[in-house]
Amino acid sequence: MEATRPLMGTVFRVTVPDGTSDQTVDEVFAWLEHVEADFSTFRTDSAISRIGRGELARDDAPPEVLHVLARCDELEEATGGRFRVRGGPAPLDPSGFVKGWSVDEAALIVRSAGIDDFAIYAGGDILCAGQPPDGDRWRIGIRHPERPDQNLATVLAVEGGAVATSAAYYRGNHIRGSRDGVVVSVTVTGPSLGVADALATAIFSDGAESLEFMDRFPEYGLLLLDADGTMRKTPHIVTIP
Amino acid sequence: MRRTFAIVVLSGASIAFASRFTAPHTGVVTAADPSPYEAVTTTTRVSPGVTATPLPPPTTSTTIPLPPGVRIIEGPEVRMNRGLVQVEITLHYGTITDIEMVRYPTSDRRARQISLDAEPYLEAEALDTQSADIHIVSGATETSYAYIRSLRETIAVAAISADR
Repeated sequence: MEATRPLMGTVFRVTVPDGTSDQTVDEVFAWLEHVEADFSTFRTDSAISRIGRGELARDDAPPEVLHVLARCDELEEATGGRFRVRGGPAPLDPSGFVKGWSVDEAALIVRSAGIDDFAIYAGGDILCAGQPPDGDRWRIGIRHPERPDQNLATVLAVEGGAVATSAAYYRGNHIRGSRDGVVVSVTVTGPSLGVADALATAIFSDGAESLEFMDRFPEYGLLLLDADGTMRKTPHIVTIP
Repeated sequence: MRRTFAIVVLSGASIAFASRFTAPHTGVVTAADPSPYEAVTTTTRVSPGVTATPLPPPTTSTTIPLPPGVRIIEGPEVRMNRGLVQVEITLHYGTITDIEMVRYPTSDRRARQISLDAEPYLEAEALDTQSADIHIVSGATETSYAYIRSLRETIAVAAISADR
């Protein structure tokens, strides 16, 4: 069974086995709404907006806000500043990590209800666990950079874990070949969706020019696509022919 | 050798949160929702012209029968900086099978372009692939906040009408 909701400026969907109690699904969405209220840069009264404006001292922020900002600082350092929470349109914007982290945390709620097989989708990023209803691996399609609304570039077989994609899609008068060799889609897999999402953003930000920092994330796999769909990947990632 | 980066992401905040949580009525649209057969009413507005002949009624309604389990719900118009956004969702036994942006900002070309570019990605994202071979699709989408807000309100309308 599935439940879908628009949250945090995107769409979230929880897939759990049939017969899962509504209470569990309700708890997941209540948690995600709570995160949205604390971290929304659209809401002027959110903790993150108040810290950004200097109205709320970081030390006085709710514990999960402190936790997230500490993780963001670590990721900023580890990616050589390619992942950043400052310098955008909002003075402080950790949403590149928050969406994935909120899903990592939501998975704890699902697991604590005794559910081992589930998937949580958050605006193109996914955390899956256990097995899908119809097989032993989750099959995750990756959008084709040139025809994102119609075609898949490839399909991953995932035993459990996070899949995050950062990409630019082009439509219209694209001249074939004009962007050959340019990385337009970055997919990162690994244990945490928050980290995978931040790494995908970081790698995409400089067109995958420098990947050395990925040595510090040995559990995380990487799949790069050029505009024409040409694929490069690390051995972590298993694709279905 | 490089230092590996062992980030401990989980704080357990969600569990602490959930332990205090009492479920309200949510109105989540799920596949299990047994939607009854419903017909949809479309409304055609006829603008009054300057003429001596009697005006036609300002509104005519036509009822179109739909296949069992299908409902179409038009969401409220959501006013955003760049103009009005409105979506229409099609439900089949409570599952969203189609989302259409029936109104998008046309006030300036840039806004219109953003709306048109975003629509297929947003739609693909919200619908997911229902192919037997794929469970979920990963890929960034050009998210429009107005679209999402309109969609959120439309789903709320859908949930209310499913309760009836």
